This record gives sequence, C-alpha cells and structure tokens, in this order.
Amino acid sequence: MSLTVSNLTKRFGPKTAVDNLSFTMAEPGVYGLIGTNGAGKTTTIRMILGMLPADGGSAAWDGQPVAKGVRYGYMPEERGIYMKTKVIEQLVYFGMLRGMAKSEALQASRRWLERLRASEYENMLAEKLSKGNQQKIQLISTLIHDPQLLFLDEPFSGLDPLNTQQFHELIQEMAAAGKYIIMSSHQMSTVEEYCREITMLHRGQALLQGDLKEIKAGYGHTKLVLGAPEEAYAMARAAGLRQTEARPDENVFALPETGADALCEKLLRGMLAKNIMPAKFELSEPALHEIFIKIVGEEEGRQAA
Amino acid sequence: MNQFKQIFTVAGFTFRDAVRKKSFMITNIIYIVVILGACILLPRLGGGGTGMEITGMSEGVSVTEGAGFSTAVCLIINESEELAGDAGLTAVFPYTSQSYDPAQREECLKLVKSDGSYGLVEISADDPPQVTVTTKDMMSSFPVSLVWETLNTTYRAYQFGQLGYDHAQAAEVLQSALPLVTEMADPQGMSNYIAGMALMLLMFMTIYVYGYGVAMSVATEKSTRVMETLIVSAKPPRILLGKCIGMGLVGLLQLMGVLALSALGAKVFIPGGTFAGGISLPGLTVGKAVLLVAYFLMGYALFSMINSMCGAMVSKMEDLQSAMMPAALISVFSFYGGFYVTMGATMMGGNGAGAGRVIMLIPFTAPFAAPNVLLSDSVSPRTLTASIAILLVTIVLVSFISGRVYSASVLHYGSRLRFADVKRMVRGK
Repeated sequence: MSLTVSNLTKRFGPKTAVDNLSFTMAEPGVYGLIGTNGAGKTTTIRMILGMLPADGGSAAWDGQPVAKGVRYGYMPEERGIYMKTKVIEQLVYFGMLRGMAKSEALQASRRWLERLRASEYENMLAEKLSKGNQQKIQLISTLIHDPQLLFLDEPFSGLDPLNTQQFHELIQEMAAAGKYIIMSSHQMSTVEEYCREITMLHRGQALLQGDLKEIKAGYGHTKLVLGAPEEAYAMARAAGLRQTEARPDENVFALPETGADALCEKLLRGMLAKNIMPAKFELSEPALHEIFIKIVGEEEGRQAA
Repeated sequence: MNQFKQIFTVAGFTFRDAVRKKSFMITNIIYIVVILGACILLPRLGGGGTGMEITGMSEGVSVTEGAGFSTAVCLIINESEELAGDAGLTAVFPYTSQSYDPAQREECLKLVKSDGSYGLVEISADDPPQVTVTTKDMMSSFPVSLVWETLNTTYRAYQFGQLGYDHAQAAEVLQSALPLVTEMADPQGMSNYIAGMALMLLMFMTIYVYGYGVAMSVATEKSTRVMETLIVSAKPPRILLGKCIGMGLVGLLQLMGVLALSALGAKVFIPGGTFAGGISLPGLTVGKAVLLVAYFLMGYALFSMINSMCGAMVSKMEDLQSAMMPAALISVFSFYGGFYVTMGATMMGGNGAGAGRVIMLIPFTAPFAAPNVLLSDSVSPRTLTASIAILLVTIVLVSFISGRVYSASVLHYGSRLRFADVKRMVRGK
C-alpha cells in the first residue's frame, strides 16, 4: 500500500500554488508537509483528496484515486463543527455519512470520547466546549470510521500542553498501528518529532524532500554545545569557533562547514590534556527550522538575483 | 446505494436540526394563535358591518342589502320646503338620523371626519332641491345610495301630493318595492376563491421561509467551516439535495399541520351556514389535492435551489442578506404576480382565462398561482400539463446551475463571489 503523488500542479489565476509536486509514502508512519503559510500545503492535501481539481498531475492510493481507493480521514486546518448541535449527535452524523450504521457510529463515538477523556461532553452543545475540546470533537469526527489514511492539517495549532500531549500520544499510537498519516505544519519542531519523511514546500515548490534523518545527517554537525569552565570556552574561541548562544551552564558554538569533526576532536583532546573535563561536549546536527531557514533563504536569494 | 444513504442522512440531520430551532416553535405558536383566532372571530364578524347578511339556502344564498347599516348615522341639514317636515324626514331613514341647522355645518363635518359611519346630508332650498352627501373618505361605510333612494322616494311622494294625490298613500306606493332575491349559480365559488387565496399565501410563506432556511444552513456551514469536513464525507450535490429534502419536509409538515388545524378549527368554531361555505371546498378533489402538493414541492424545489446558490456564494453570515436580495425579489414578484393575476382572472370569469393560463406557464409564478387556478378550474388540462413540464425543466436547469455553483464555491472563502465568478463556475472552469 502506498500513496503516490505525481507532478501535482495547481494554479489560481497567474499564481502557481503548487508546482509539479511529487512524493511517495510507501510505509505506515507520519509524513510531514512543511512550509510557511501560503506554501501550498493545504492546496496539496485538497488536491490529493479530490476536493480541488488539479491543473496537472495526479494522486493515487495503490493506483486508484484516493477518494475511492482507501478509507481516509481529513482534519482541516480551520476547525469546523456544528456549534448548536450536541456532541454525540454530530459525531454520529459524521460517522453515518462515512457509511457507518447508526449504532456502530454511536458506539465508536463513545469509545473515542472516552479515549480522549471527553465523555462528559457527550450531551453538551459544541458551543459550550473550550477550543481544545472542540478540537477533540473535530479529531474524533476524522477518526470515527477508522481510516487507513489520515490527513492532519496543522493538528496542534491552538492546543494547550495537556491536549497537545494527548494528540501526540494518539498520533504515535496510530502510526504504530500501521496508519498512514500526512501531517502538514509550519511548526518545524512538531514535524521533527513525528515525521520520518518530509517535503519542504516554499511558494508551491518542493525545496527539500526525503528521510528526515538522512537530510539532517547530510548537513553534518553544525554546532557544538559545550558545558565547561571558562578556560574551555576560551580554548574554543581560540580554535576559531564562533559563539552563537550563551546559556546559564553552557555555551553554543557554530561549527565551520568543512572539517568540523576534526576541529572538535582536536579541541576535546586539548581540553583533556589540560585536565579540563567538560560536563557537556555535544556535537549537533542542525534543527529542521535551521535547515528550513537556510534553504528558504538561499531560494529567496536566488529568486532575487 | 451509499449515495442515497448519504442524502437521507443529511436530510434527517437537517430535519432534526430545523424542527428543534426556536424559530420553528415560535412560528408554530403564531400559526396556532392566528388560525384559532380567525376561526373564533370570523363567525362573529360575518353578521355585522359588511352590509351583507348571508343566509344559507338549499340551492343558493339570499342577500338582503341594508341590514348591516344599523351603525350608520345620518346628519341632516335640510333647507328645502319640498322636503320640509324634518321630523317626517328623519323618521323615514332606517338609520340613526339627527337634524342640524345650517349654522352647525362645521360641527357636523367634524363628526363626519372623525367616523366613517357618519354622513352629512345637505338638502338645498332650490327647486328641485340639491342633495349633497359628505362622507369621511372612499372607505366610509355610510350608505350613500340608500340615503339618496330614500330622499327620492320622499320627494316624489311630495310631488304626487302637489298633483292632488293623497300624500300618505303616494308615499306608501312609492316605498313599496319588488322583493329581490340574489342567487348564486356557484354558491361555493367564493369559498373556493377565499381558500385558494389563503392557500396561495400559505404556500408562498412556507416556500419563502424554508427556502431561506436552506440558504441559511448552507451559509452557516460555510462560515463555521463545517463544510470542509462535510465534503470529504459526501459529495457536494448529495449534501445539497439532502439539505433541501430535509428542510422541505419540515415545511411540508408545517403546511399540513396548518391546513389540518384550519379544518379542525373551522369544524369546531364555525357552525355550518354562519360563514360562507363553511369548510366545505367542493372545488377540491383528491386529484387536485395531489396536484397542489406537487406544485408546493416543485415550487419549494425551485426556490430552495436558487436560495442555496445564494447561500453558497457567501463566506460570512452578514453577507447573506445582500446575496439573497435577487432571490427574494424573484420570490416576492412571483408571488404578487400569481396573486393579482389569478385574483383578476377569477373576477373577470371567462375573460380572465388567458391571464391565468400565462401565469401558469411561467415557472416562477405557477406554484403560487396553482391553488386559485386549480380550485376555480380556470385552466385546461393541457395548460396544466405544459405548466408542470416547464416547471420541471426549470427545476432541473436551476438545480444543475446551483449544484455547479455550490460544488465550486464551498471552498471559496473571503470576498463574496461576483456574477462573473458564478458564470465561470457554471461553465465548470
């Protein structure tokens, strides 16, 4: 089973919202679509689901259109539930629209409400719920029919830490259960936490794609986090490292693009020779948001030129 | 099969949602109060003030003019010698009569201005005397023709007296009149006409209110962004159809309830013979009742599809009113077109058949004209068949356009769609 997106293109008048986008999700897990607002993430999802007609290309689940080939769920970025309707009634309604029998939908709704610790809201009007709880109802309406393929558009926006944790556990649980999850986000830390593979979109174009670990490894070590006496920091500066951040018990140094590992080895040996035992000597790969800023910056520069 | 299940799921949800709304409850209460109030008050109003006393007869209705003018007040300023003897003059009027001096004219005019049942009768000193009757306005209930007739009789009796006849005998002969009985060949015609008008109004209100309900429902789902969740569960045309069916069922249920309550109220509160025609509607056969329901459903389908298109064109509820304006104008003009043309056609009898036929062939006016036209049998079966065919074709056409616009605009947010956008959507671009 796999989701294959081939050369997907969408134009709105003179603006190309998605430009020749291709990717494949061949294994269960979480796939990240990242990018700034207006990068084309939501448009891509809508085209994959057939909600928007594509101007070019296609999206298929095992060779068939997604809307026909697989049981899927979609949680849109803009939350939408019936405010004047009881929680249980609208969940049953959405379940029945997805082909479930009424009793089956009722049973599933109650099970999910319990799972997300929202059973007490079953007979309340949605307008009486907090934003976080409304978001839970929206998530249940997406999951009620047990979809194999899930599209979550900015699933964590507006959630408090407790609800974020609940959503977090649920997504990991579903990924472990063999579900295919496409998650769009502009919060890089979130994507980094969940996604094995990503597509980085900017102005409708895929700037970076592939396995996240491999992408990060490709950038090598870009910073050194050093927790040690002041003398060690002086040695790092003397070795040509630029300090980028000062923390209470540690400092962060930027590493050069070439020869970083050799330089760090030499620095560590020098410290040990002087009997300086650092509490922390950590070589880090770049964070996803750093990669994003770098790549987007380069792209903007190229376009400006 | 799944598509029908989805349509009926949407219809059921829409139905339940609509019947629970406060507006539905309040409308029902208003209908109950108005219907029962009318049933209780109509028999009481029927006997007084209209000038027509209608008595039930086996084969017709006898109308006695004048019996209802007991409230008329005649103020007389008489300067004529021919019509002298004011006491006698006031005595011949079957109404309350009061004599005044010419100097009191302004005072009399004030009274007349204040009350439509008052009339000032001024008789000049000329030979023959000039009679001037002043009433409040065109809507005054003062019986001018009857007053004039009474004065004429009195004046002729005076002239006969001048010629040597016995005045009293001459007056008696002149006052005697041939008894007049007015019979109606179609005694239930008025009853059918009133029922037709009432049904027309009721159908318009139901179609208008529930058509608007569809637009509201579509606009609400768009503005609250539920639409995006919905359209991944069911195709937009199915949602639209289900919504129209659900809302239409609520309207039909309310319409049937109103009709049943009216029939019951009339049976309980309007005794046979007191009100013209009672509750019997001989013009209404089972076939016509079926046609009426069909016209209601077709009218509702047509206008709800137009309204749903308006609802889909907005992203904010505050824009709905202005987006609905063209649809509201079409509904209101169609209703008034149907109302006045069929009213005129009924009054003109056979001469109005042409107008009735035309109004039944216009798809927008046909549903509103149908009750009167059907109950009065004023169009031929051929016209009726053509009317239904044209209406059905229009519904299919409008549904196609609405479906296209709805499907294309459900994900449109931001500014209200322009006519050019709608044209593009209809072309499927």
